[in-house]
Amino acid sequence: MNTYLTQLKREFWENRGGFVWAPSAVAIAFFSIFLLGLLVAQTHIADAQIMGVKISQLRINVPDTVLPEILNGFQIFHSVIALIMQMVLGIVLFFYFIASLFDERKDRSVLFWKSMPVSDRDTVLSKIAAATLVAPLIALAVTIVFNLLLVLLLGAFLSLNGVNAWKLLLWQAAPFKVWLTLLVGIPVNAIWALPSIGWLMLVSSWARGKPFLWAVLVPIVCGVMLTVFDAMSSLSIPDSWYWREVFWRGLASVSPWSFDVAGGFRFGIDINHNTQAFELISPTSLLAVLTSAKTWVGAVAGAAMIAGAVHLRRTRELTD
Amino acid sequence: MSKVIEARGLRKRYGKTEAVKGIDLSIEAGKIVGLIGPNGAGKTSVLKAMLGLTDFEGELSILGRNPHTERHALMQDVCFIADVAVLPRWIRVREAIDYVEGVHPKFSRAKCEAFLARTKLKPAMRVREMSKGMIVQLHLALVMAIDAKLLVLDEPTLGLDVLYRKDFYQTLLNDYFDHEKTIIVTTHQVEEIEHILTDVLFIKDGLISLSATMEELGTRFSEVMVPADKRETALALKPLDERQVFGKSILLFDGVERSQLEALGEVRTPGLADIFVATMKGTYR
Repeated sequence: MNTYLTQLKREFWENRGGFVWAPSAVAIAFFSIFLLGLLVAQTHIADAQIMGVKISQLRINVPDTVLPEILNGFQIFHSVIALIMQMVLGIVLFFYFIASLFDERKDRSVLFWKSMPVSDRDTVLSKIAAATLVAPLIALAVTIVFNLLLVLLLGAFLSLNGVNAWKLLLWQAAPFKVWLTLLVGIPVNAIWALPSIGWLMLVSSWARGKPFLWAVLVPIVCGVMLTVFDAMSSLSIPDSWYWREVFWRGLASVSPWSFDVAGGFRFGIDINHNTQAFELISPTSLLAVLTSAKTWVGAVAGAAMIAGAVHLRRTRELTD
Repeated sequence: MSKVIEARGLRKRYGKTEAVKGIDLSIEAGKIVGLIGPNGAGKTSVLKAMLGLTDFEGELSILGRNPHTERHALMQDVCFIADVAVLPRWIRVREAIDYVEGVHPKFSRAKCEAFLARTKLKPAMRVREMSKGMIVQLHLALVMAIDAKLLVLDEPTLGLDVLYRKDFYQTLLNDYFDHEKTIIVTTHQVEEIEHILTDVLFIKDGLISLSATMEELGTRFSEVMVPADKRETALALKPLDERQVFGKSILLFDGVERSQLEALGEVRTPGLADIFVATMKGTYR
């Protein structure tokens, strides 16, 4: 147990930049934009608006029909920022896994790690745990702090202008639901990401150089070959199936929430009138993923590739 | 005393070239063994096999375990510095200590800190900010604070200046070694380690060419400075090697009685480096 915690700490020390500073940078950037906006609003206070409602109007009374709109707007805003942070986390994790078993061979520090009584299996598993548990928990903590700071900033701005909206902001606008969903989403995302984790770690443990190129080019070449030889249509599977279910899932499912309500791969934020951000980060889509066969087939493939990475870490030799 | 290392017919192939061609070894506890050989003789391959870093053919058991299949269990009792400066560049001194303390049950933080107190290393320093000598000091401090049974050092002082090198071996001998521990060391700076060794193994072309204790070496090999008129008589005794110095010949003999040699000239015990050079003749030709 102690060994395991130490291994997680070691990953954290090495990846502090990606795990803590990357999401923090996003938070700081958005916070600055918001602060700037409120400062501008303060100078034009007469017609300043919060989500389309004039402050002067808020002070008097808010019509019942508008209040839910304002709160809804808040939820969307918080969800979008949470999603952007999750995407940043996805990029961090992608590069983390590509480097995970390659960098230690490149800088020869594997000779130090292997002089310690830690098995190759435990090393690989601790790297996965650091990326699928520690990093998302840190990102969630940063999200929560950022949300609270934003609520405080807005509350302070409103009080400054004679509106006491603390109760409203803290109890109804704070995105508790988003936080809870993000938390529950951590293990679900971890299962969903397994094929991608497995592929990236396998390449990372195998490549003698340029792991990024190998990780990306091999699937591209495979896809092109399938198209050229028309292998898929003879099985009456459309070519797009490979790109979506194998290529994107295998490469980019490390990105949290890269699934849709049908349990398929979906990359990026797709918000329109039908799907809003807080619906994408939702219990419905989590449930869809857990009940999708695609998830579990991918998880099995991922586990096999992780086993391959463990084997390669044990047997791969440094070239002197 | 039980065997620390036991090898029988140890072989290692890289593609078509055979780096280790069937080595038999048996090393007991309480020894400091120098594994000495020219570049490419197979030293590193043998050490890697012992440390579970590579696959091998034949039989090899370290403290009764197969190193390749039981590496992580073996590392409870075996420490190694496999190369200079392999500590990860991002790690800080205090993180390195915390890490080893967390994963190694036989690590003593107090010992490690005592060793580090003698150096200029500070807890917040990162490896990337250190000189090569400092990195080795940190690595040695970490390793010496582990109560292991076997310590393997592969060129631990390569590229260090003479002050660091002397200090390295002195610390190792004074503060670490005792009769229950075993140390295996390879280096090209033979002169610097010969006084600390108890045993030597010469390795040539993937085979052990000489295995002896230092005392045996002293009785087996002798060096005689022979004036020109006695050179012919001396050559008849089949010396291993001949060097010319100021018109006299210095001849190195293996297994010739001292009394016999004393008639020819002044007899000395040769240095390990001279014996090494003599026995490795023709390696690169």
